Amino acid sequence: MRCKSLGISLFMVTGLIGLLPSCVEDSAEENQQETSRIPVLENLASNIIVPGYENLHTQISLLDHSVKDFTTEPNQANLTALRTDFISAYSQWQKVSFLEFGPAFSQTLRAEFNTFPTDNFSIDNAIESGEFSLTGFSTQNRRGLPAMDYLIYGLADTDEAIIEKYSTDDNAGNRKEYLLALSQLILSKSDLVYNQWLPSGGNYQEEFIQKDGTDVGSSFGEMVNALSQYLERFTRDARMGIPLGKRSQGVIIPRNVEAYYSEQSVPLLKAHISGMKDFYLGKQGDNDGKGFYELLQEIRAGEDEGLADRILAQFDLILSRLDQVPSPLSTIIQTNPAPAEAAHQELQKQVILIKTEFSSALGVLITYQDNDGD
Amino acid sequence: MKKVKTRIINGINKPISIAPLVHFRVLFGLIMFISVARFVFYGWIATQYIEPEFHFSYYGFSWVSNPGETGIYLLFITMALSALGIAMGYYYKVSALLFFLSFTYVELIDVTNYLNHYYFVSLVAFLMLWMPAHLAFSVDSKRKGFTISRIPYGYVLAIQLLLSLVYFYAGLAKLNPAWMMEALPLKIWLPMFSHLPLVGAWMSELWVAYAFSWFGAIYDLSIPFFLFYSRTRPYAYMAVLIFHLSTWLLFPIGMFPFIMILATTIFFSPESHLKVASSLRNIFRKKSATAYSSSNEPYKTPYQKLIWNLFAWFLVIQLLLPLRAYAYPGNLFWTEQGYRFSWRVMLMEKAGYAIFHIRDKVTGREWENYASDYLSPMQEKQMATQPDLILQFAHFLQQKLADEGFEEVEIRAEVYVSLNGGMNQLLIDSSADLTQIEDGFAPKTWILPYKKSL
Repeated sequence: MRCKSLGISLFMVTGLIGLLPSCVEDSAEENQQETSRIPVLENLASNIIVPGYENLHTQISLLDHSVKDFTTEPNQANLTALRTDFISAYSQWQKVSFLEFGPAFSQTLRAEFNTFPTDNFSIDNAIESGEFSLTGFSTQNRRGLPAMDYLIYGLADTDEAIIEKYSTDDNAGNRKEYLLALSQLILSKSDLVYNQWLPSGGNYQEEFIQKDGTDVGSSFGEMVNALSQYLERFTRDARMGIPLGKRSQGVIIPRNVEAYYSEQSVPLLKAHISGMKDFYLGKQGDNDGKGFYELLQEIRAGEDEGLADRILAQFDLILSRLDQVPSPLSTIIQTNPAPAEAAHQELQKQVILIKTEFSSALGVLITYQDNDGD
Repeated sequence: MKKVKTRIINGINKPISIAPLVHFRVLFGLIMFISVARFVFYGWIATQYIEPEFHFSYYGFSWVSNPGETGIYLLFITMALSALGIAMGYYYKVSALLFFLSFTYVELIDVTNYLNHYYFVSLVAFLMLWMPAHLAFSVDSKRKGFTISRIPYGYVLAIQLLLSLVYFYAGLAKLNPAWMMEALPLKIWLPMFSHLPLVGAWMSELWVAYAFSWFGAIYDLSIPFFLFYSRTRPYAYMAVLIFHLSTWLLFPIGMFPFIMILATTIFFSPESHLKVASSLRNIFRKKSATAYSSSNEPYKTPYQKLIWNLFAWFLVIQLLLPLRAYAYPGNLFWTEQGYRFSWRVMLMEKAGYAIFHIRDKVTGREWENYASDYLSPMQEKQMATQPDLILQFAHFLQQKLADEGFEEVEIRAEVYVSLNGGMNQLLIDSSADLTQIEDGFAPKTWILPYKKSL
């Protein structure tokens, strides 16, 4: 009797489970969920992230070289060369800025490189007094690329006057020292982060590939959280929303644009979005490997909502909206904000896609806290 | 009819060994102590109760406020000590009351911390208040030199019925098209485990998601019956172990699997409990064969009828509460009206993002506000998918802006939500001024209907 009732229930359960694959076979074929995260991690590490940091390190070394040349011999030719290297380095920074995980996170690379708006008054005061300590959290808005932006573009209205600040000016010596110190700081930081990724250095690359889960400490967990947070706070808000007054009761703050003095805000933002798009695609130059795009396609095959393509199209839409924004951004915000507003709108749409569907599809967790049980 | 009633009453009053209830008390107290210790150990007191600037209150419980850092630590200390008090049967009634109050109070501080299993713990703690669970194998009974060996079956039955309700409603909730016919959301979640050794390869298979979904539903719906029926009970308990341990391995659901594995032991017969107890005593080389002497009179209380009535009403409320969701129009998973307190667990993958548009009526200026400026990531995630919490947050923003000098503002929320990985769509009417809307039990007309994507 006992065996019988149990037998029936067992039979029912196994029967149902056994029947299932045959019921769903058709959809199963189009739903091939061959999720393979490791190839994506390998490609991102070895073809995007490490070359990205290598390139940054090269550009910053060149920049440091030009800073030295300019401070040794402050003339127009050296200033022009310095500015060219500055823009190249700043553009390359845009392409790795959003990788806020692993070594970049522990070294607070973003804050070191790109805290803006820069505090030009404090920089002037420090140079005048000759007492400048450039370490610690409180001086972040006096160093990095935005501080250099001020020092090589914003000191005066004409190039001659700027060169004078480094040659005949009373504080020329201090100013040179300050510029050299800035350059040295970002050089050593970029060196540090790059080396921590390298197999010959800290070999974070290996750890990155090994952490192939989707929980909080995993590489995917960190990348998705970093990407969505960066896109929200530093791409949309810092580079567009804040200058447009979105976060200040509708009062515009043109001075808060990125690269205010060199007026490179729009080209830099374009470089930034292109960098993010390439990272999403797993693409570096002509070398197009596996990225989030391919992973999403694999996971979502058959769902037919084209999430992978919609995110890609949104990147392109942002870029084409940015093409409509004339430089300098700080002026456009005051005279004709419509194209900047339009670009902001598209950035907003990407934030929504990343925070809702993208995060859902990849199933990453945001905290260690318990979920509702079963 | 009368015959049935007498039979039920006789069944409820039939004396059985106190052992199942005593063991339940000890296990419940211990697992609660471990849960509290774990919570503290992970530093969640800070992230959930100290750091957040704002807490979402339950409707009607806005008077429950965060007692501050010292207060919250005192509450957790009370919780931990009273849990031990329950386990040891030390001033049991006081311990049970303190545990129920401190635990429930802490849960009421913030809706975004809501978990069904916390609610379950509060309910069990409430039942424990009325149980004579300390009259054997306890410090209290030792102190008073007074042991009871038999109690009316009704006490044990109340816990068994509550557990059955939890399972059955959890199963009923799974009988929806997404869960059964599309294997959602397991289809989304399981491939995340494809990196695991051994089982990893299976996790990406679609049929595995279907098998898990169907097995989960059948398990939840049938397990109460199989646990009640003595012949199937041992096998049912095996299923309990397998089910909860596998969910524990796969999902970050904390202590819940262990709570259920221990709680369901109450279904075992008094004889089995006594057998386990005596074999445990043999291991510890106690001289007497059992802590449960069978000589004295069964437990009697002048309030017996009152307690049975209380339990009956308690269970009726538990039976009806989950049904309230059907009184609301629209897709329950989308609107979440009547979603909580109904044992709807792990039923959906939902992610949202909220943009709050502020308009100053005085100057006409417009700007945006984001929850991440004020909320923890967990709070933000919960808020962005639940209309009542969005409304609460909008009112908090209104207060915040008034403090900054913006007395007359309109607040609109543009909230995009993706349900079960589908295309995101607007959750609520983005033209509704949330400062003009009050929360209530009436259907929220400002929630937009859910459009099934492709």
